Amino acid sequence: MDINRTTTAMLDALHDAGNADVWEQFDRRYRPILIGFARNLGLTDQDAADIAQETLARFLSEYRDGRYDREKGRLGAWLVGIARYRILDLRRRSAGKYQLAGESAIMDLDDEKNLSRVWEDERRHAVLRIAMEELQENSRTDPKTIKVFEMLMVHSVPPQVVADELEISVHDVYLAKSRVAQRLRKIVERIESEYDDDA
Amino acid sequence: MMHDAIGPCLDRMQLERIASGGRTDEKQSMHLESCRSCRDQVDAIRNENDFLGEIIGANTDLLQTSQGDQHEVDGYRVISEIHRGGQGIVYEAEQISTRRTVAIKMMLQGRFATSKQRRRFEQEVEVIAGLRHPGIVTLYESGTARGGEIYFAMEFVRGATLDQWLRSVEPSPGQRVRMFADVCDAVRYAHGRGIIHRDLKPGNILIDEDGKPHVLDFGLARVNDSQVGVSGSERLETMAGEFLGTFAYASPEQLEGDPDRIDVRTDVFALGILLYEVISDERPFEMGRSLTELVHNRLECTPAPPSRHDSSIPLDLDVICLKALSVDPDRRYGSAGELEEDLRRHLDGRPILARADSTAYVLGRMVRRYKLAFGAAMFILLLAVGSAVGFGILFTRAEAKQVIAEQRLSALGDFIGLFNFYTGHGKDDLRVSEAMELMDEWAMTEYQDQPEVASTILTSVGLFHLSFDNIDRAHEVLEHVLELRAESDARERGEAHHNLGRVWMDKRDYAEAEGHYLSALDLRIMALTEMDPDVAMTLQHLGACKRKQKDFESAESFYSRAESTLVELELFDGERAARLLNSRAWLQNDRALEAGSREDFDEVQSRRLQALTMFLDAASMIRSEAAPDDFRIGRSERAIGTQLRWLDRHEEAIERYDEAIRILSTKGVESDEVLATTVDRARSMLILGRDLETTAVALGRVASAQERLARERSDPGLAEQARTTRALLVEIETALAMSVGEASGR
Repeated sequence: MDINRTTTAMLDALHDAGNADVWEQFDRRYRPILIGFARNLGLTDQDAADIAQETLARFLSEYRDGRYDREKGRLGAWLVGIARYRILDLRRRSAGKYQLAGESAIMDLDDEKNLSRVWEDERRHAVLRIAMEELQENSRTDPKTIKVFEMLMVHSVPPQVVADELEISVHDVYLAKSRVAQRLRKIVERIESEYDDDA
Repeated sequence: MMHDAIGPCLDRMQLERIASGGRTDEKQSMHLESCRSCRDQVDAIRNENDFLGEIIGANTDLLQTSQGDQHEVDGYRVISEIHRGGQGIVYEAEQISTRRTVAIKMMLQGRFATSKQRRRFEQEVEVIAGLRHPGIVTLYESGTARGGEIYFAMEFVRGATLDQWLRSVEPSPGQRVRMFADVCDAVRYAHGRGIIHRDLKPGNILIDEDGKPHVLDFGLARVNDSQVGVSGSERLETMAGEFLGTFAYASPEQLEGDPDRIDVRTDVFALGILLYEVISDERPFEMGRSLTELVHNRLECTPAPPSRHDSSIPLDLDVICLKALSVDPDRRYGSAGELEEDLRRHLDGRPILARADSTAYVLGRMVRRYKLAFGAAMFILLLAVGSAVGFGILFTRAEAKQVIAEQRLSALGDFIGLFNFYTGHGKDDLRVSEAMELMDEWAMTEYQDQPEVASTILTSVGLFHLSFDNIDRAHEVLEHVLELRAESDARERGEAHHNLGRVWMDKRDYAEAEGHYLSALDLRIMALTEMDPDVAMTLQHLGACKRKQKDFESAESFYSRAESTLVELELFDGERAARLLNSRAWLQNDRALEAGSREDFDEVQSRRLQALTMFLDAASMIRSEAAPDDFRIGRSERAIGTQLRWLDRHEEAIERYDEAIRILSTKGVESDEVLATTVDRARSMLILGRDLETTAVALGRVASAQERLARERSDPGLAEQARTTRALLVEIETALAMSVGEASGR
């Protein structure tokens, strides 16, 4: 399975109903974004998860019915449109007793610009998370370099202490930080290029 | 390659330190200024840190699961983590030297904070350090933790956040309002020091064990640069276009990301939402399926009155909440202090100062801002038709008697169905103006045989057009009202003439306006006798009409009749009286100018004194009702200052102008009024020959601002003002040059 398929390639392959791999991949790419999107609009975690599920299911059926026209708009906009309807529907179903979670509860579902901004933020967020995972899991980066990055950034350990503990110079500590930044930049760039249909 | 940098290039460690906000010594700064390569490297490191900061921000769970991120702060023993928010982590800690428990707030991304975040944090420290109020969490000290992060130690408040408190304590209605008035008092105090919180929300209000509130987290506060126009102190970073507040408590102007429009009234809006929740346990902006809720959702910021959720909530609190929640900042309370004042009045059983928005205003605002769904448009039309005849008569016609009984908004769906039936208009994205036309047509055909009903509906439609400067349409409709009322009683015909008078005033045809006003006056006196507020209103309009025609004698006599009517009715107080007095003062001002053109300087003097007295009286009337920094007081101070200036009492004038500038600046430093007042002040300064240098600097700023605003708005009037300001600046600079010349000649 090609794990680095672009969105365009994924969509092409998705026409084949037997291609479960692609669907799984699609799901992995968009489910977290949809969940974050819905939570940002004021839904509880549970509701957000439901909305993501319903949106993905609806998308697949509409897509296979040929109702998604690539000429008419980007995938992101299409998904946002479906999610929006699902959320409105949820609100209708539970009107009155509906509790909004989080702090963005007054997000207007009719404000397209706002919705697409939230979507874009969530998408970027997802890219940055994948990049971090990739750096930690299958990176070609020297483990010591990553250790420097974690101590320095995540734990805010002073550079001199990092240097002493890892028995390198402070100068090397800074170089390691730069290497991690460079590596992450490359990963982010690559992932961004894979999201070629919804940037 | 040119290489004339001063001193050796900086090493990586030095560059890193500078990039993350560290200080540079003199040698380093000199080198940096001369060495492009080092500067580029600093920029590159900053970019790198910002990017890594972004990565960490997206991976906060990585931060949370990691052990060892307990921060160490010299002099404190960290006990536990209390809260982790967007910008910082808060710990409970013990100050070792004093053994007291404190809260320590530390920047989340520590040393890798972007320069922007760091600046914001430092600003927070600076801001809180200046605040001392029982309702505001006190800052003890700030410093740098061992890892290089900035922290600050503050008062540790044992208690619950506002939302927890409401849930767990279930306070009585009185307790809630009293507690909230204390919150307003704390915010009022901060506003008085030029500090806007900008992120008021339940999590930022702690209620201690005695039920007293403590406002915390001035993390987003920005020092209000209200003094800039005059003193020339540096303008603080304004985070242009960047929205920082929390959505749920953000004001419309914050949601629009317009930093120039953020002022103390932004906090008033957040307080409005909080108050709403505190008294009703509901959020003002919720989704739902009923028509009214749908309308509110469309309008985003026009919530249902809190009493809709709980009928025991008194009307006063509805009015207070909705005033604080006005979309237009000008319609809100001018400050947290004014909001507090009304809450205290409510608690003491005194009348509150807020008034519910007028229908015409509500309509105007809605149409300007939103294209409404058909249903929403109908809802608004019914508001326009008003409770007077609206619901009753319309629903009677529709033979829906049970609806009359309820008169509930939720029944409007039925009405819309009927409306569609009558008009055959099934469109669902009708503009209000179009709907207005339909309403107009419909009233005409449907109520042909009932002119009283038709004319009442059309009066609302006409006034509605008038409030939009849609004068021709208003004219047509209101003229028609007059025809329809040909057979009606004197009171109704009087109203029709009065409204037509307003139309002609707007058209600047004062002779026509006068004709209608005089008819209105006769009819109203006939129906109501002279002792009626409507009569006083017509008299006042006639005064204005005569003043516009420069018939000052008549103007004066109409104004004084209006005044004696109101005095007789014991209605000559508050806003109404102040408005009349101000009109009379402006009339004296006009008469003084006219006397000046005849070179009758005794008369000028006496007119000016009269104007001054009236302005002073009006100001004291406003003062008795409004908060000390109400913008109306600001305007009065300016008017008083100007009369004093004309009377050559410049010392006093400057004091008044200073006060005017201080008050008016709370609405924005670059408002036309502040700019113009600064120019007025400069004129007095020039005559006194005082502080000319500072005055010139302030004036230069005003001129640039006026020029820029004139361009932005393509406003020739403002461009002309800018030219006048420049001319005055030249005068001041000449005076300055002369005084320098004199000094050196000595």
